[in-house]
Amino acid sequence: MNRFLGKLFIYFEIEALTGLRIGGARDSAEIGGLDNPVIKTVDGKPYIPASSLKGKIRCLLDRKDGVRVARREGDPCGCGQCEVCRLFGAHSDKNKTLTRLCFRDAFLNFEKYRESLKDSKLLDDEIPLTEEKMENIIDRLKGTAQHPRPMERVPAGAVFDGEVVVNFYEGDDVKKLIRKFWEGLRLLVDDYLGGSGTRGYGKVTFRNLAFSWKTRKDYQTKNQAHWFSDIPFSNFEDADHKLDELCEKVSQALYGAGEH
Amino acid sequence: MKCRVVKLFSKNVVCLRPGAGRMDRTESMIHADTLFSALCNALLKLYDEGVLLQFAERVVLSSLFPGLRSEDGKDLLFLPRPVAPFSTSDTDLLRRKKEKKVSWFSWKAFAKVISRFNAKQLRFDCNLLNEEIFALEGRFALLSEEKEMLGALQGFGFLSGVEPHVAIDRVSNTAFEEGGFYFQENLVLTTGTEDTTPFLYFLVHYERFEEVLQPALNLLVEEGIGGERHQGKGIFDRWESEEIELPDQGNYLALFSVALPNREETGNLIYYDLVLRRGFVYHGGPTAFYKKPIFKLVEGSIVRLPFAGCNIDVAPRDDYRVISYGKALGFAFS
Ligand SMILES: [Zn+2]
Repeated sequence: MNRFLGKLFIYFEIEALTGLRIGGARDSAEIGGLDNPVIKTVDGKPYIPASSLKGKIRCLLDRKDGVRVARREGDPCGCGQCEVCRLFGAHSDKNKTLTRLCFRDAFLNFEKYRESLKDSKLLDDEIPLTEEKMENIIDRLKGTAQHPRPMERVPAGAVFDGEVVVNFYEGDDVKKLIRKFWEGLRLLVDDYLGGSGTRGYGKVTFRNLAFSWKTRKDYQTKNQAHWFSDIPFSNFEDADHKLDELCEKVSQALYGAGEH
Repeated sequence: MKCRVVKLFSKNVVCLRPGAGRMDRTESMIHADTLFSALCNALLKLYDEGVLLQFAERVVLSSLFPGLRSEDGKDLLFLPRPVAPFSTSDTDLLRRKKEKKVSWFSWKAFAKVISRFNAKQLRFDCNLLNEEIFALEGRFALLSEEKEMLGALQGFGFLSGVEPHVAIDRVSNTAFEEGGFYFQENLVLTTGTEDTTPFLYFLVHYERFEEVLQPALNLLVEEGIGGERHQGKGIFDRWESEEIELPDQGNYLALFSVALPNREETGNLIYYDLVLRRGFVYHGGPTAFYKKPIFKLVEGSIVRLPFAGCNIDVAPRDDYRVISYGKALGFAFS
């Protein structure tokens, strides 16, 4: 087993640029006419489950890079060799690899969301956490709307706090792995999150990104994280420009410590 | 016995996935053996196997129990209800239902219950419906002198949260026709009021706490406990610890961990329930194996002392070892 080297922590806000729908109903199979609620925490606030982010990013990378080995047609990659498998874990019983990425659920940042609505002069208890939108299916022959159904979604402007951790082990090409993950984020920004993306839902972007790391030695001593920059990168593109520098620093920290 | 209480805090919802063999089912708590293996994994990332083996041999720990920090920073720690019967003379069925619902006791209430043990009849001569002694709120029992915390307990406790999941076909970019859509149940610790902070805690006895366990805990909170850790389940933001004195003298022991009796201790069981522990082993290698399934005594079981319990090797193959935790930690009484 390869030795654990340390972790890279990526913090960010996800802002919904259009209505966002991560639902309990079977979106992609188009079973309609049902109640269509968005997923919420036990106290009733919408959130983005870690699995949605993780699954979507992996799916986009799999589709872009191509799946080398799959258990059945259409499954995620199970080769155990490529960067996607190394990051997300190989989807295979035979080529099992460590999963290096750990996502956390992204919870609604109510303060930021309120800020985005400051012109609307709503009181706190009036600020809607979700909105309902009627969706129709147009009958191709008659040209009339059929089966109107309410769809619940999180309104544009909602902001969620997200966090992803990348674990590194001896022998890992740190820079390559970070770049591959970043590519996944880029693909997501150009695609959509949740359901009904083809109808304009789920356009998201990342804001206020911050990076820190801890080496194995840090856990054994003061347990203090090293921050890449004191000030978060206010938008995705600014952080994008700093990626090479980040890769270099993290790689050096993990391999250059020269312990033991 | 001097123990450490280790409290695990999360800035967001405390959400865990203690697997129960199916995605849409969870266990109702994180058992000591799951915690043990999470700690071992963290230790192995930081140290070599020698440290791990010494730890596995020496450590005694409890399962994870719920706690609540009040607005003024006071902590209420809860312990599982002892499995033995309680005497209730009440004939009112509704009130008896209320009594039966209680599954967690504050430390003070627990100590009170334990002090009422009737060794002859092997039961607790203790009426939880006696409002001069106890105050009940749903599944929780406090002493009446702790009554001021009752309000904070409303809405506190474990809930199961269900998350829908979709497996997407990479070719068609839609959900798989078969097995594409499924539900995952999670165990969520909630609180009804914004001013209180729910947390999970466990008790641990280990001499090299500062030197070995502390770094492992630093890593553990980030690595997570239980299933679906890569989706952030069972992950915490920080931990705190304090020392506590756990009674260790007496004729009996109320278990705080899932325990496995040594052969000569099997005659010491008084009241117990069993829980089946099974699952997969991943050994860094390509294939996962089923662990040998094994029954253990549940938390709250009552045994006669001496009772140490033991760890057991549940590896399905001879070529490596898989330690499953089964030592007894608990509250001794007479
Ligand atoms: Zn692959």
